[in-house]
Amino acid sequence: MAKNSIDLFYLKNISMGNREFELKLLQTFVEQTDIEMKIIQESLQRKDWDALYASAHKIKPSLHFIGGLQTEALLKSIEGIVKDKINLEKLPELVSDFLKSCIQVIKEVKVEIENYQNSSKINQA
Amino acid sequence: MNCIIVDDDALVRLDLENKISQVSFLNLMGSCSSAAEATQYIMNQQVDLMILDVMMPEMNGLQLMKALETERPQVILVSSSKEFAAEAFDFDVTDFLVKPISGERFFRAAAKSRRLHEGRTSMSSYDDHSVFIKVNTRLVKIDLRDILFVEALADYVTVNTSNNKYTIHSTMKGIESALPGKYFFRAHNSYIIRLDRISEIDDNCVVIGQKLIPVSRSKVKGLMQKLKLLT
Repeated sequence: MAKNSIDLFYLKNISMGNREFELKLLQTFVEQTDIEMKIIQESLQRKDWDALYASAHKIKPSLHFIGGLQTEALLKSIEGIVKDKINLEKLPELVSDFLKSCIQVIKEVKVEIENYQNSSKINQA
Repeated sequence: MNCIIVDDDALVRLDLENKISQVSFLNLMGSCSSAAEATQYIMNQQVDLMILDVMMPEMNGLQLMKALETERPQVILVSSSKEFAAEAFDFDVTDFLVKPISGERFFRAAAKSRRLHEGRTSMSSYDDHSVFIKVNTRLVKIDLRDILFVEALADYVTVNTSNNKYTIHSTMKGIESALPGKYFFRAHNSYIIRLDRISEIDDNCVVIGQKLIPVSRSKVKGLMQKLKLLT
């Protein structure tokens, strides 16, 4: 697994220096991605392709916000397979890779959240 | 301009809220996670612009637009996928943005919505008998009795009088609100008609002058009531 799975360049670019917005987005990312990961896992088990597609489609722009491009690429592959219903046998491995990648992304996002919170404490002091 | 966001993705809503806060002429009234929530806003408040996601659970963005019909405010449609673009423009949306949405692209769409919104006021009531309409840079006063019908043409409308035809940058909703309901009736998504200029009614059509104008099935009863005719 690559050490840096995220890159906040895009987020900092769209926030135009609004750190409160950056922090809120990172926190929301963690909450939302956690839920969607569970949905993706359960949808795969149930072979509910519509739910899997909807969840993959939803989480895709979220990964773009935090520059999780490798994870986003995995998700695009999953989305494509589910949409075309071709090579469905590849899904378990792809989903497993995606979930591992997502865990790493969330870990790094949580570190960033902590950095934001610490720096705002320093600024307040 | 009053606007709402409708997207089930909390991150996209946050991004759009941040972008809207940087546009001075946009007033964010609400950030909705579902079509049902958005419907409440549209039915109870003056919403001029809806920034709407295509793929949502329960009711998607395209279904919401269909359901709202003529009550629909301007729409900037957003989606992670370009595949809905063609269908989106069938709904006459103001713009279609692909996620992730760049600031520059969003601001361009917002500027377009403002131009259209201002176009809605291209016709304003002057008194009980006349309106002013903006034709290019001129303001032309028109006697309401001269207006036969108004026809929609994409982002434009034509105001047809006995002797003239004026094309103005506006929307049917804007024109409808400037014309007195006592004399005018929205007979179809694309037509507003002057009631006392109807010469014939045949099935789902009316004749005004030489023009055969369709009447939406859902509007027939309302038209008959206006004309005090028995159905």
